[in-house]
Amino acid sequence: MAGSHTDNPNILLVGDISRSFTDIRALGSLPCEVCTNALDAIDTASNNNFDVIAVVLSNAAQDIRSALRSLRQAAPGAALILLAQMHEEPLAMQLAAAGSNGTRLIDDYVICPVPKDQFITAFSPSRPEPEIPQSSSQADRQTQQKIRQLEELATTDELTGLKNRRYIWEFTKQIIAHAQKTDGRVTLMIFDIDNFKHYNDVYSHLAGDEILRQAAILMKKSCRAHDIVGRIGGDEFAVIFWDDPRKQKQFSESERRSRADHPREAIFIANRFRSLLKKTELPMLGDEGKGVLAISGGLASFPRDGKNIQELFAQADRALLDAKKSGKNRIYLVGRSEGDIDDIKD
Amino acid sequence: MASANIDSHIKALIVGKKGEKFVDFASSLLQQTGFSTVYCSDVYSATLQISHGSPEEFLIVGSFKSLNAENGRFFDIAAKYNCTLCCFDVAGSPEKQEQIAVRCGNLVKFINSPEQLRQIIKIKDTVKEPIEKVSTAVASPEKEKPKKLDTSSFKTTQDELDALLEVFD
Repeated sequence: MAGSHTDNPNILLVGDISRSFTDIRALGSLPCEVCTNALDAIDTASNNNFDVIAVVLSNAAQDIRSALRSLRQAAPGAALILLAQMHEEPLAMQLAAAGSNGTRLIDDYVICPVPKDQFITAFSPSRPEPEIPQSSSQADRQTQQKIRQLEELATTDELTGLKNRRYIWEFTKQIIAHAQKTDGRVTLMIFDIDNFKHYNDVYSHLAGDEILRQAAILMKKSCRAHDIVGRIGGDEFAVIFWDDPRKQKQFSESERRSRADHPREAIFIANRFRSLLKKTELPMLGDEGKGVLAISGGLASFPRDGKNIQELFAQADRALLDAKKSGKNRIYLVGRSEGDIDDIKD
Repeated sequence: MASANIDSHIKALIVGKKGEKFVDFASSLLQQTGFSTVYCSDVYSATLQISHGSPEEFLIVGSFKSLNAENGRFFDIAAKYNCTLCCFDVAGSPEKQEQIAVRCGNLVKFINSPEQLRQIIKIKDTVKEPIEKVSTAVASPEKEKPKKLDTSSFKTTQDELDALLEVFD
């Protein structure tokens, strides 16, 4: 049952929240209770009134679906919110989607670390508009929707619809931290469009924009659903290939290690992308628009080529420069600058 | 078939999946001795049951693996609500057992055979108090003490129980 609506909502936080907020002290101003695991939370929620229950996706429960189901029953009137890291967003989206019976395990999710202001805005009941009275739950939903739109704007590249530099940087940082804990692998690819300046200068900036959009569409098409593609500069793109935790279990420890040493899937995807680019027709380039688009790129893997985000970006960037110096239209893997990734067999 | 004579406020809560050998056995045994039985697939829904403010007293039965999820936290919550736990299939984890026994005292019973579960239910039948509960436990004011089970009717089920045990063995 929902708590009484005062100025501040009663909040129950579930799990280890140390990585969930940018400023954990901000919580001090809100009536929060913290349970480190889902069982205590179910018990607490059964015997108290909360307006919001915020659950840390990564560590609140061993079986998150079952825990959320019971939490929902323990406090049917409370809004159930997931606190997810960036790399957990696909799972958070799944949990937020309605099941076959129309019910949803959670009401919404927020990507961590949550800034103080966003947390307070998101979890504070909004005041109804004076002219159009509405229930606080409607107002909450609208506030959440606005926050989601703002998040989208802040992390999306307007031209291509891909993630922007800010998102890519934060995601890479988080996924490396996650990979350090789970012995996972992360491969970063940076690439740019060969002769992009020429297309811009000769065929106009509109043509240049179209090339960027096409490249974005084809790269997204080439990647797996969980890989992250972003535009990080003028004609510069980044792709983050990482272990999907839902598929990780099928590999043994030794298999995972050998896979981490050699980013085979990233190379396969990069080659698939180049092959699609070659087949692309760009009418706005006239005769020059068929099969001419090419890219140069650099691939670097964590932990082999860099131990942190700065090292990984620096290494991938260096490989990209080497590829360009060697005549463009090639992708270099760090440590394999003697040849294009086409030459790498296994 | 035995009649249900145990006071209805004692509820048996079986944690596990229907179809598992011991779960099915425990379920039949408990139902036949008059317990109102509830299935919970895991400790999350079991926690919901025991903490939802209902006046029942619970006898919780489940495998050690299922009850020990979330680092054994369920044992502490069950003990807080003065529930009696019958924990089966505990082979290979004596240290954890000991830790839990220290935390929960006599509220937890570790059992390794259907016969042991039968014995516990028998004890519950012959004593008025819930089995071996710690004396410091504070009973909920709404709760009534369980009434004594009519042992004559329990004994009439002996043949049926033996038959069940044969199936289980």
